[in-house]
Amino acid sequence: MTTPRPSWWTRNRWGIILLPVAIVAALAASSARVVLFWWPYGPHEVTRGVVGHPVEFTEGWIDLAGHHDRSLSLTITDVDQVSAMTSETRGTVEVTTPPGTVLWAVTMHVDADPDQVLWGCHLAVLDREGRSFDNDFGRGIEPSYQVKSPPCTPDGAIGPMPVLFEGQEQDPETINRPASYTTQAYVVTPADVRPTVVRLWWNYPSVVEVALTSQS
Amino acid sequence: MSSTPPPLGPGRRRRKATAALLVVAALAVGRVVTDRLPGDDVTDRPFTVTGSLTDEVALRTGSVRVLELHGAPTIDTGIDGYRTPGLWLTASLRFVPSDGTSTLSYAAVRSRDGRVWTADGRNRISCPLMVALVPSRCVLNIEVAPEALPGAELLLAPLSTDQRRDSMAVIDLGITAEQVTQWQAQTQTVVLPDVEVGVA
Repeated sequence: MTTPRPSWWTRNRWGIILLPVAIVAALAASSARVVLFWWPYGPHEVTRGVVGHPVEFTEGWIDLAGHHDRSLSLTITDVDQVSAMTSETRGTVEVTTPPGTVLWAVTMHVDADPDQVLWGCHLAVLDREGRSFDNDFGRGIEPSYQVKSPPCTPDGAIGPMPVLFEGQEQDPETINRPASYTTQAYVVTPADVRPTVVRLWWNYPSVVEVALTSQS
Repeated sequence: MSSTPPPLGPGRRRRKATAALLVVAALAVGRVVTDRLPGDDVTDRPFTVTGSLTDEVALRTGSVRVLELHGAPTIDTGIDGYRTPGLWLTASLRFVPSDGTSTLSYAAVRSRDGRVWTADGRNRISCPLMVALVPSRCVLNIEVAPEALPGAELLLAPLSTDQRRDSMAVIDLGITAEQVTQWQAQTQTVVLPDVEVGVA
């Protein structure tokens, strides 16, 4: 008596079971390009908040001294259209911006350990379409010396700097930053743009985005 | 007690041979496809957006239009004066970033026969890095062999260091041989306009 030949499905059952696993593994392997070339270069890890309410933000970062954690509480209290800029060291000065543009003051309150490195932050506002308007280099504000950098620390009280090269020394004039402070950053946009979100970040992909629900 | 496996029947042997042939054929097809895929010189090419001298050309990062075009043996950039035995091609451009912050830092003139003169060294493009929707007037000057100018194109892209897989404006400058002759005879120095932000 001959044993009946197993069906095609029975003979190939392990191959059939493993095929979806192999497809998933192949996709996962080829996804390295997403991680290497896309994810770290955009605002893809968002900590969200609302104007007037504190947002707790924590991220890891690296300098020559090793790995660190950055941890702070950020409250965006106001975004107003202004014609003058206020600096903690230079006072209030009337400024001009390029024709067809307006100036926005972003007022923020920050609670952070004075040992935290907050140098290197970037700030931008987003409009309803998601277009980003950053404040790097002042963007045509005159007098340009009135533009402070970084935007998220008091002028003249930046706090500690990251260690970027061997033998680097901290600046004793700017290292003392209060544990709790209110400061302003300024952004230039076209006159018809209304900010709907404030974005603050140090290193992509981690960002804080605060919705300005009180803005029209 | 050991037993020798039964010999393969003719049907089973045929199936095995067919499977082996299919594997070899699949490898051969894979090799042919791989050999025929375009190389980096093709896949890295910028995405060109063509236009004429009066067109608004839309790039990935913004739109650009030529405002003025001149040629002369001598130019004044506002900082330096330059003379050439060939011709200086100068242009002012209107650039409007579309999202985020951007500029134009790559410019080149490409002749009809494919020669390229890029904006580096004393050839230069000056364009402010500006936020979205705010127009800027950018200025460029490129030294070119006069015989290369009739039919030449202006190439513009966001990054001077890397144009791969990004958009690039290719603008037909519409320059004629008569215009080149006039520019060569010009004794007056062309003064480049200032770079400005917020101009229409």
